[in-house]
Amino acid sequence: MKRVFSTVLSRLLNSLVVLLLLSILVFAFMRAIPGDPVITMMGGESISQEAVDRLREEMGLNRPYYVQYLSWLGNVFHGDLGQSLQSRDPVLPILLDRLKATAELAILATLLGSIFGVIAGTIAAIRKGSWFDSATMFLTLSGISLPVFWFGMILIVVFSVYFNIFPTGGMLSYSTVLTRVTGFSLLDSILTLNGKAFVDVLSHMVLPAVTLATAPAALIARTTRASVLEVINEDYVNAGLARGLSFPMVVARHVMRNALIPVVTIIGLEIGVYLGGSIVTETLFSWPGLGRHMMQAIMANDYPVVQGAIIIYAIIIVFVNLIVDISYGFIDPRVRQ
Amino acid sequence: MIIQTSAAPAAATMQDDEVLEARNVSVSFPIRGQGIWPLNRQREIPAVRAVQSVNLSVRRGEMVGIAGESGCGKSTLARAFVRLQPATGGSVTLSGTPIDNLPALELREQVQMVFQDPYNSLNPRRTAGSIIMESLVVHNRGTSAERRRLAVQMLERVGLTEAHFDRYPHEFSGGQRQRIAIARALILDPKFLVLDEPTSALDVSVQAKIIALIEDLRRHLRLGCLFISHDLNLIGYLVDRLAVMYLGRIVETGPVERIFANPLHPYTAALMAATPKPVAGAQTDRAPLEGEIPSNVRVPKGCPFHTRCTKRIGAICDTVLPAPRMVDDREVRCHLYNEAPIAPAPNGALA
Amino acid sequence: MTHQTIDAVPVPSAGGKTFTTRLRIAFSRLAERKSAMFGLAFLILLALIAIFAPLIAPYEADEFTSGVLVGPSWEHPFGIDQIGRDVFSRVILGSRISLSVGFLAVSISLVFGVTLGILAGYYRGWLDNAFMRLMDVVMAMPYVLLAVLIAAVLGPSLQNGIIAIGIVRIPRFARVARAATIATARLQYVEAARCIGATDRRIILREILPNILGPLVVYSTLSLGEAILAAAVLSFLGLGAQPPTPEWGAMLQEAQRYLTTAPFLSIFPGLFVFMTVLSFNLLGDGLRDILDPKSRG
Repeated sequence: MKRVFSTVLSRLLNSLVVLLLLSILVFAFMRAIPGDPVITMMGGESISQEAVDRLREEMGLNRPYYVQYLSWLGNVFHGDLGQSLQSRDPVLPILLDRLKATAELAILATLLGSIFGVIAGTIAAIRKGSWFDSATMFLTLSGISLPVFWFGMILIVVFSVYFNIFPTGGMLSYSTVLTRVTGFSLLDSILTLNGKAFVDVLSHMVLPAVTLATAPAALIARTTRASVLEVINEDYVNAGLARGLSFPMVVARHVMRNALIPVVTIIGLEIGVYLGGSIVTETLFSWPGLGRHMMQAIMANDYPVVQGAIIIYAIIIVFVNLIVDISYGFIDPRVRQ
Repeated sequence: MIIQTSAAPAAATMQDDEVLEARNVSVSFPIRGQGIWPLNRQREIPAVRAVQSVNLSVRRGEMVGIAGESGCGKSTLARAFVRLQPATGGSVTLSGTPIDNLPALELREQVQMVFQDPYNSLNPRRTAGSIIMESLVVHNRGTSAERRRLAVQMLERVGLTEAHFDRYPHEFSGGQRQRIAIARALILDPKFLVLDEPTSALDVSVQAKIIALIEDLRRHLRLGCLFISHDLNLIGYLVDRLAVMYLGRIVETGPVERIFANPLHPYTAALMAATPKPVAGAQTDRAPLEGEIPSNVRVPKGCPFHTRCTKRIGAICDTVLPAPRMVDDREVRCHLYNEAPIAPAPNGALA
Repeated sequence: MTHQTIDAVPVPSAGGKTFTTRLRIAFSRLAERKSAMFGLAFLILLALIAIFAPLIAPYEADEFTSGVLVGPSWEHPFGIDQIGRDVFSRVILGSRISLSVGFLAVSISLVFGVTLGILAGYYRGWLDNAFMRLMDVVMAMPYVLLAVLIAAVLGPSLQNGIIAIGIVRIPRFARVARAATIATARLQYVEAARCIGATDRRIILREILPNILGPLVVYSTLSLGEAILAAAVLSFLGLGAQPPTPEWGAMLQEAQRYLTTAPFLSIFPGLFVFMTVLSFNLLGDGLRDILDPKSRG
């Protein structure tokens, strides 16, 4: 037990160190962006030097860098990520709000991707060599190579423009009204028993979610196929068959439990891909999530927002990786000792 | 520098008293730390004691053998002689000068090594000629034409031909590759050659040829050779003096015929008994080897062999390390011989 | 047993396998895999297009023709864009940009990554630990995020995009190089090189580097595809190539606005990106299979 504890502890420390280094990196990067944000904020008009200096001092931008960093870090721990340079609103609440939208999209995408990927991969493995298998292999290889944004555009062209099934972007149609409860729009629509809104949001989510889920689904399918293939040849499968269990039973009971181990790992690690891909997808579909907000902030040199966004991304990714790492030790008994 | 290629052995010169010697050499490897940094500092760092307090010398023109089972530290000791593995205790000296004090290139000109694995000891992307010439290139000798000439000469000296110069290692057999390895080592004209089981990976029929080559070269070039092997028959045939190693320590040294005729140390006797083909002229002890070799990390106190010794006398074997004793002109570390005088400290004389 | 004189050893009968022979053998094994050959064929085609682009493209990249937002026709196979430029020509000319971006970015990653990786793998110790921790930090972020960040800092432009993509790939190259170096440095010929007195520098350059080329080549091929994709993504987000450069991603960015009115604008540039990346992946997969059949997916 002590061994497990020390492993978990060392991984945790590792993650914290990684986060710390990342924060320094992000901070340094943001300071390195050319262009003086103070002047930008003041509209670039000719302002007196004292006004500029006063504002700079007010914002604390004239202190030495490490002081700025430490005070920023301290604030982070208190949950204060600073103020947006554009709107003077506190950063954290906005980002968290946007995060919810991203999370909804990411969760839907994860579900779609994982379910489709696992099913396709399993069938491909079971029917190895069949046309299904070859088709799957080809599709998945294409899926990995697919430019996400182009695929999204194609989907829009086909389904929105041509067939007019789904809307082209945004989260809600103009006519829909939805009261905020939690900030998660799907959840809110359920909670307020607003069926029309629910359908509306869902229809807005389909295309972006499918776009987002494609590349990871391809990877998951490939991994599942490889993993199932590996397991299916092992002896305990034959033992199960010999005992008289039907093939689907064997698959469900024995094969899947062992085959899914590497797959779960991949799913967990793909979180990074989902988050990265969400930047592009959100921009394309005008989905009001964290990625799109961050892009707008980058364009406006609004670095408290960008910093905050990156930190949030980093925390999520590192955290998820940590969980995957640790749970991998629990799931796979071979790793445990 | 021209390599002697004449058939007649070089006349004995004043080079005779050059000696490659290990004086009280130990080699330990600390095991990489476990656990998280703050929590494991109190624990003493365990180490693998591969070699412990070894005294061994090789004179120019002499062939000394080191025999022992896997894991006894002979390969590590071999590398200590060549400074591929620095000694963590004691020192290896060349005619009195510690090799650590010698500039690298000079050391490499005096002491060279032939490795065990013919398949991995040659760079697969280089031709045989290039491998041999590399030694000369590194030491900046001669023009490229001269180097090629010397390399071809060396190829022929080890039994290959000029046609082999441009071939890649994978085109050669194991025996041929070892010839190339020998050529690579000898082209620098070293005085000492350490051979770490050079024939263990070869077929028996090929072994004989390579051994013959080594023996021939040794005589002609007056090489001081350290021959490491676990094959007692081979050692018995080839070497003049033999040192038997167990668990990092040398337990018995002396002229090889005398050791085979009358093994003093129980481990030596057991080794000979365990050898499949009876060694010619040897007296086999009826007590075989039992048990397993203890770990190199927790080396048992006292005599290293006491856990498996059939001739164990008593508690003294478990607690006290036997001092090296002289019996006839041999040296042995065993409490059975505690009446014999203690062997003289190493100073370049008999090890 | 008597001492024998050295007997003559016969010359091996097989012809010397020189480098070109090995290349031919490798190629024939590659040819067995149809998918890899398909990828290779497309890439060769693309390379030719890129080389002869000015000759093939009927119009200049910024030349105005008659009409705006006109669909595909015989004269303009890919249509005319919102300003009046021929899309076909722009796609052709864009191939030059995309391919050079890919090669430049991967070169950056290769040079820096492999150097770091070899040093870490050869010397081990605290240097190895420090490097690898740093690499872990960089790899913790998805590459899109990181590339966006770097490009944002440096300023939106094509060169900066190349630099950003190059930097982001460094850790992966370093990993590959490090693993290969560790495996190679363990082999006895490295020890033998040290034994004859070769300096570390010489060992790394002459013994280790030539022997780790295999995995590096495979990884470079796969990375080329990803680099081109990354460049397109950056341009699409507005951080890489800026309009009016005919880079495929930038073209898609401009096409976004006209998705409903002129969908054909988005199809073709993206199609080319897709085919290019796919081809690199197919080729890279094929190469990986030849080098190590065990790592098949």
